[in-house]
Amino acid sequence: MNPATLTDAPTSTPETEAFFADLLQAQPVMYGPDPSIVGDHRLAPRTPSEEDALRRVTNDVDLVIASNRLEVICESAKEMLEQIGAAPGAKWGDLTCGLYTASGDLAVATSTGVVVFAVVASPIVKYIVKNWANEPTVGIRPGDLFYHNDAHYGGVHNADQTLFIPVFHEGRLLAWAGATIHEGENGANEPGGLSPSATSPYEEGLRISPMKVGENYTLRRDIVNLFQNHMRDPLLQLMDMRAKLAAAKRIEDRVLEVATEQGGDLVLATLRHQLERTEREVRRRLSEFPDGTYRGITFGDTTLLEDRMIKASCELVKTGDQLLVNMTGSAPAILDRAINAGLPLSKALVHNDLMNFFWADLPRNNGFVSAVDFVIPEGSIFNATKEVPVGLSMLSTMFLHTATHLAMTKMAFNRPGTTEITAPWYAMVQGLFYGGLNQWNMPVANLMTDINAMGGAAHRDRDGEHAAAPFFAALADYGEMEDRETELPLLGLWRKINKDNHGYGRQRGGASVECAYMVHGVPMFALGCMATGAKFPTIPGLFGGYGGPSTPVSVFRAESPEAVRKVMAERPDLVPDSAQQLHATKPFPGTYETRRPTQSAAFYGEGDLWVLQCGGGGGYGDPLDRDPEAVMQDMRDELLTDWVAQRLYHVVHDDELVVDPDATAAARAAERRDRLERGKPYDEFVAGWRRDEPPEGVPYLGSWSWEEPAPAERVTEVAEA
Amino acid sequence: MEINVDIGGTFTDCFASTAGTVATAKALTTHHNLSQGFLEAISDIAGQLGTSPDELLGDASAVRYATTLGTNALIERTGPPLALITTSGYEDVVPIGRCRSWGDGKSGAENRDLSRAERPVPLVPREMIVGLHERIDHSGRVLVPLREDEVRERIQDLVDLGARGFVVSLMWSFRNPEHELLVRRVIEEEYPSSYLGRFPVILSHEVSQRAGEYARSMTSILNAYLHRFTGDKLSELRDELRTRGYTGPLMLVHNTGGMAGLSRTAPLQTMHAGPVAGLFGARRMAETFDFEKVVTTDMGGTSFDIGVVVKGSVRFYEFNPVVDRWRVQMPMMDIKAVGAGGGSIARYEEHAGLAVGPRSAGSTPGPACYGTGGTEATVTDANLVLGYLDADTYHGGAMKLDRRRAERAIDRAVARPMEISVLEAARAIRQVVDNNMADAIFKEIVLKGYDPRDFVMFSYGGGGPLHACGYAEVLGVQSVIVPPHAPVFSAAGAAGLDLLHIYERSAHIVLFDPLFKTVLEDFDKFNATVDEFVSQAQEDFGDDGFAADDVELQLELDVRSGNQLYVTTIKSPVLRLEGRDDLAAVLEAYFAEYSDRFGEFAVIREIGVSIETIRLRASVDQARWGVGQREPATAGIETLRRGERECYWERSRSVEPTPVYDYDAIAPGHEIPGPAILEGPDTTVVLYPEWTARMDDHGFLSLEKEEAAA
Repeated sequence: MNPATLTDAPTSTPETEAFFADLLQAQPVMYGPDPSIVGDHRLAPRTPSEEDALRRVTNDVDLVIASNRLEVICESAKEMLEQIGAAPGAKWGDLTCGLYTASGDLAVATSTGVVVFAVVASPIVKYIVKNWANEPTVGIRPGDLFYHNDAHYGGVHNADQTLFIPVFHEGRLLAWAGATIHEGENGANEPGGLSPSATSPYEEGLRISPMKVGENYTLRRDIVNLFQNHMRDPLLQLMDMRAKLAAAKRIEDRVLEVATEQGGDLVLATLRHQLERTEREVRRRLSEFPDGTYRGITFGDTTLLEDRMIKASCELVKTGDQLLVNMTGSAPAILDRAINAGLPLSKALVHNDLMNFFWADLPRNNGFVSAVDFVIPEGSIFNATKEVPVGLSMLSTMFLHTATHLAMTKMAFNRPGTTEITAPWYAMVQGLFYGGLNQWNMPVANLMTDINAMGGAAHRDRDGEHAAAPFFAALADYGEMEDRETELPLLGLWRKINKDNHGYGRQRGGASVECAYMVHGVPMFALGCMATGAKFPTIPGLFGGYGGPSTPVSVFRAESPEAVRKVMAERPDLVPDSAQQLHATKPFPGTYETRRPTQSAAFYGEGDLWVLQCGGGGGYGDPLDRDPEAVMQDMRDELLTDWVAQRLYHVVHDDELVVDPDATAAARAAERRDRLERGKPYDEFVAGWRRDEPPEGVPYLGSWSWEEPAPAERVTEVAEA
Repeated sequence: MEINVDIGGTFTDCFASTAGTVATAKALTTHHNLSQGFLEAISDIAGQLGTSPDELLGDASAVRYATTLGTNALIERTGPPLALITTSGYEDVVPIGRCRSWGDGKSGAENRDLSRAERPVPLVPREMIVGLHERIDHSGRVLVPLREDEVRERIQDLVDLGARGFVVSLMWSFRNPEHELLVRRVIEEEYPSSYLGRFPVILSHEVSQRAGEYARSMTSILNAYLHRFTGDKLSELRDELRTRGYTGPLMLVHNTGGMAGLSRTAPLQTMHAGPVAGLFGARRMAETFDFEKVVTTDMGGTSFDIGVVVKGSVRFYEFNPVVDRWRVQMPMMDIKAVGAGGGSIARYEEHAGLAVGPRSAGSTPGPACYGTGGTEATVTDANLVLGYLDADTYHGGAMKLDRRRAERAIDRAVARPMEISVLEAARAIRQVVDNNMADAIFKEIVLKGYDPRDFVMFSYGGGGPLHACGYAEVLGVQSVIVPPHAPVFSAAGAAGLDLLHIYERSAHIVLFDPLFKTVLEDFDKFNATVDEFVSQAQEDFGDDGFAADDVELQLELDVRSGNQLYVTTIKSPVLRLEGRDDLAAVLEAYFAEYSDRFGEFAVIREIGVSIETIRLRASVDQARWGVGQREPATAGIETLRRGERECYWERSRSVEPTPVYDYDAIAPGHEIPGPAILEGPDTTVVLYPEWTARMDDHGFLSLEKEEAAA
């Protein structure tokens, strides 16, 4: 080609150019995930209708009253959804009902349960508005039902499914009503919807880009059937699609009542006002913290299929009311492992910390995230592209959350205001998932709710709460074991706090539980697990406190079900109630293993046993400052071994757990002297400690210095066992 | 003469009635000895009727008694040191409380804040909880047998640690109680009653027959914890009544909406019995006047209580209620409390706008206008500024209010930050609190699947009638009823109660299997449970002298679709399943209830249906509640007029001279147009413009909006 023709004046007519413009742009091959939407966490600009409405509705009391009413509407829809949903998530708070602006910003979200929806859900509606409103084969009309689960378009992960209804009033699109449930099962290559073994997005089950699934409030049965066709649990799929429709419809009905009685403008103005007011308040509160640069670093220890140190780096640069969250230096994307996270979720986990631990009183809406700036480099594990699997994105963003908490807490420490200063809450889902036919011959496939038993963080002035809540949902419930044994072919041998399962410190973290499940009443049942932290603990402590311990899983394969039953029937004293005892006494004939907590699903026979350990919260302050009597009480409460009491707390006591105060004071003084002897001047420490590259033998992903971003990686070796 | 008593935290209310005569009295509750306050109220009544207390009691045919004092025992932690014996591996079930226990019994705002999550001090400390090596599975099969020697050793340990009562809650004990029974046998052998005295040994399967180890354990623990309270305090009262000549039974009001004698009352059944009696009274009244749907509203100093009553529905029960901070398993009439009352504090923040409550100034320091040290602006201050309350006649003139202090507090907290006048700010406070109450009612009603506009609203309590027109207007409710005897309404409600026993048990029975397309054919398991409950009910009532024919039986079922996690409770159309017709009737009743409650969009027939709980309500009609007749008006309303004062009205957005009427003098035939203030010593009704108040023959004051009144 002659290069000159490229730069010469065009030889074509405007008609020709229009033809090419149409050919090249008007008909995309596919409406894929839109980086301009998923990458933009800001509020959409005010629409002319919103401007008009805000001009007309100026009474602050009217806005407060309307916003309270809209919140109650969403709350009652959410509570209804909890009552009629069937996925475990529906009961344990992993769901939301919300009201979005006509442009797609989530403005009113239900206030208990998972809060990250407030950040991740808006891109989905924005996609629908941008792509389907004017697409002649789709369109947006009253009574239309839209649906979604593919996290590349927004949302947390593909285990969540959302139904949206556009709310029209007098011919004008006023808002969107949405209902989301963590459904779990979605037809991925492993049951339960969260597949550790997926190496590409195409193994992550059904991927529903935002689409219309019904009209006139009626779900199209052929489309529902398509979805069911992908699922191991078609009953659940059908039931919960109807449940979400009922909840979203109820929101629509009630919002329309408000609009009819008090005018559509009041609804428009209230939604917009709520968003902008939240953004302003977040900025105002940020402005009260000291300016500066604050850093936090944490590590995951698995790619899901092999051991690797994966770095999460969070640097906060705070100037006035501006907060810049910089994730540069975090691990690169791993192109064939499902641990990557998209931009909305990475930003959402930063905000989870602000919403749950800093300013729980503020509304959880898209205005919250709009107040903060981000740098998340391309190629980072926290900036996943369309071709990268993201099924277990929660895992990487969870240790990102901890890094954020460390940095935020350092920032808030000097001027906490009403903020409670705490060590990190335990932040990892120890998620056992399951699939198969239960003892009633019904298909079941999902995730155990024991993830909700995360140990609470130690506070500056009190110990953490045991097994209190997942760090992402304040009021979650792990249910009753008897209900679980009714529904699943499992026998819970124990669900109990195990010793030393929390962070030590002047104030100790809250402990968490071990859960032991034996296959019972069916010949076989599939079990798998996902989490990090088997070798490198997930959370650190704060200001001298210890982090929680590592949390591997134990797996026992029975020689035969009969052999196990015989021991249980004849030697009750041998039936264990902890993994430690299980491994130490090996009471049943069979094989015993300790594994990393990310395990692909496999079938297990009757009598086989899984033990998973949820983690405890971080400790606060120096363990030597802990009241010796509190250490003894921890021992009486079976939270602590004598080893820790003596070696870490340096408490001297007798067999009756009576403290010897003088000996304890002497032991602690001796330990303080030892510390001083072990100590070095800072420069000397840095010189001895610092390495130019990761230690040999530590498989490592991420930059070794703050500034240098790391290149993307593909793990090609065969997965380790 | 029948005597009904409601012992509250502050007041003991008494309502006595005999053919055609009604007397009411209030006395201060005497916590150290309940009978003292009780007898004071009785003396008051006796005085009104011109007789002596002993004579009154000697003539009484019934004493019905509601008390919420169990709550105080829980809050003050005055129960005995208890030990919990459970299955090995489950020692932390109660301390952890399904993870969420830190938030149970706390407000929505507190439930959001993970950084402040904190559990209450436990009723049983961890070191008093032991596990036994034993295991039974969901079918009742023993997998790990319990050894007697282990039980003996562990019991000894607990007694050495100071246990003065035992709760035994083993996994699946309600399916197979043999291990729990073994534990009790060992305790009784080791520590005969001469040693342990009246220390309770509570077995969980005798307390609840439902699945859920945490809720069943907690229900058992609370019953053990409150055992002494019912055992001692209530039998003291019974004995006191006996010595004063009362020969009838002492009936205790239950939170189920029924009542029973002392020996048939578990302590937990008395919790919140007072408000439940009020709700039940409203239900009786609704039946008498043929109102299909009633919502009761009771506004006090710190909270606003809402109850929903719908004819023939079971939706007003809570089956897993939270008592104090503990989730339990028992059917309880559902009363929701939100933080909105006269003492609710108003504040303005730029990011949140004007907020009223849930924080309350309570009675100390109280609203600013009390002049008792409170400086924050409250709802009562707003009502004073708006003219709805009068500084000189508040509480019958017993307490002078200080308008200047109210204005200053409102000015500082609301008017200046919002840049509006004090009057405008007072109006805004009232508007927000009325809307908050309306929102709470809206949520309760909508969650139960109803439309607020179809309801008649009952309003009582100190602040209810003061705000009723306000929250009724927000909801589009056209009719509000202020019942007679509003100040002692709960005590009056006790007169409408039946004798009631409820029997329930978890039972997973598949009615329709969607995969194999089969329906239940073997009805034996279902019928065996029902039959067992029926004979138990007949036996229990038989002991109290009732024939089988006197006992009314209603079967309720907790039903769910597919693997749904919650259940929907229905009234079963049949008592037993005798054939396919009966099965179809049950399924149709379920689908109808589901559709009615959650909307047609939620209904799904094809994914299978199972029963999870069978529940039998057995009752004997004991209602004695009769409506008294009032004398018709003999003079016009101008004779009721006590004067007028300046009150704020929305129509002019300013104050207007407004007539004030004597509430107690309003008689049948009187018709008072709004705006007006109807003022009595204990009740103030604020009647909005476009509303009309009318008294009926039975003392019910109805407030109706003009469109409806026409």
